[in-house]
Amino acid sequence: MLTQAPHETNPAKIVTSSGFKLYQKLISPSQGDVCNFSPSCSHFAMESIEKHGIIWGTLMASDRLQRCNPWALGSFDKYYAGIKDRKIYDPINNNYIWHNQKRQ
Amino acid sequence: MTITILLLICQAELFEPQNMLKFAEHCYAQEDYAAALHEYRRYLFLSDSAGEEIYERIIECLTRLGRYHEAINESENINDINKRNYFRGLAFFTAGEVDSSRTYLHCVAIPYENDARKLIGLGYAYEFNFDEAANYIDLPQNKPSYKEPALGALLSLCPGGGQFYAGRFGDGLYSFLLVGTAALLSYYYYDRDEDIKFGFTLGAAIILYAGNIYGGINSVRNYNYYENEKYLQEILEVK
Repeated sequence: MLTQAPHETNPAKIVTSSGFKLYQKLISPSQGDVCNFSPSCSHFAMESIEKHGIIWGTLMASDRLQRCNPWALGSFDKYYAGIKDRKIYDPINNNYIWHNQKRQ
Repeated sequence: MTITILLLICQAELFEPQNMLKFAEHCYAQEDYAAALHEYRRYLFLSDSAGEEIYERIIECLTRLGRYHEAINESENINDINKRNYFRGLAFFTAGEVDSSRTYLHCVAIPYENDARKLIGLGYAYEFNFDEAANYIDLPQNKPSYKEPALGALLSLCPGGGQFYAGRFGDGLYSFLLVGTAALLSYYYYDRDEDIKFGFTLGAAIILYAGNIYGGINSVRNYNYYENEKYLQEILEVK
């Protein structure tokens, strides 16, 4: 029997994830595919808040927004995990400072 | 029917175990491990006496095909405990289970001891535990130069400082401009008594500033990770 995913009960998480979903539905399509990263900044923010809570998630999202700049592509081979779907691959786990980075 | 039997008789040499072994060796040399594995197993089935080296080859084929757990099971057929432990350790090592590989490799003695020590050292190097790795293998002289995440955080008190410290000049400059613009905007609205706009821009400035400090730590942390990675690549090139 399939089990249902638990519903989110934290109001702050509900508000932020609704905000990001609205952004993805209404604003993002008009801008086109402009984010330098994979996952995109909005997906990264949603996932990081979902995974690490509102405080750490917001900090991670804010950091990512500041890294998503015109110079990011110049240093993809130095600081990032590589290229995925023609974008810089930058998964959440590589950016959570309490996560012990290990080689896969 | 008769023709088929005749053909089989004519090609009986194909079913000679020695020829099977030759073909298996050929496949192995050609790096066609799936075919080699098949032939080695056929040889084992048909030959009366097969040496342990056939099991070694089978384990090597399975390891190269990524069938690590089958390789570990296959190592049961090796009677020499020393060799068995070495091959088990090797299979676990190749599977990425470095911790388990050490359990077996530590029990290996001469003649496999040197190879086992090399694998143990490389295992520690894969875990970026270079001090421990140095007890088992020779490491290149130019050790990684780490930076302090705490200093990155401290320098980020001036927006972009941590990123500059980690060598990410573009990110540092962008952070500085972003945080500075948000702070200036909030001051502008505060000066004009536009409370709602002031509240929004102040909130944005605080979030960006906190994110900049987090980014300072994160960029130093990533810098250290890639230093480790670079050093590991040097070790692998030497080995």
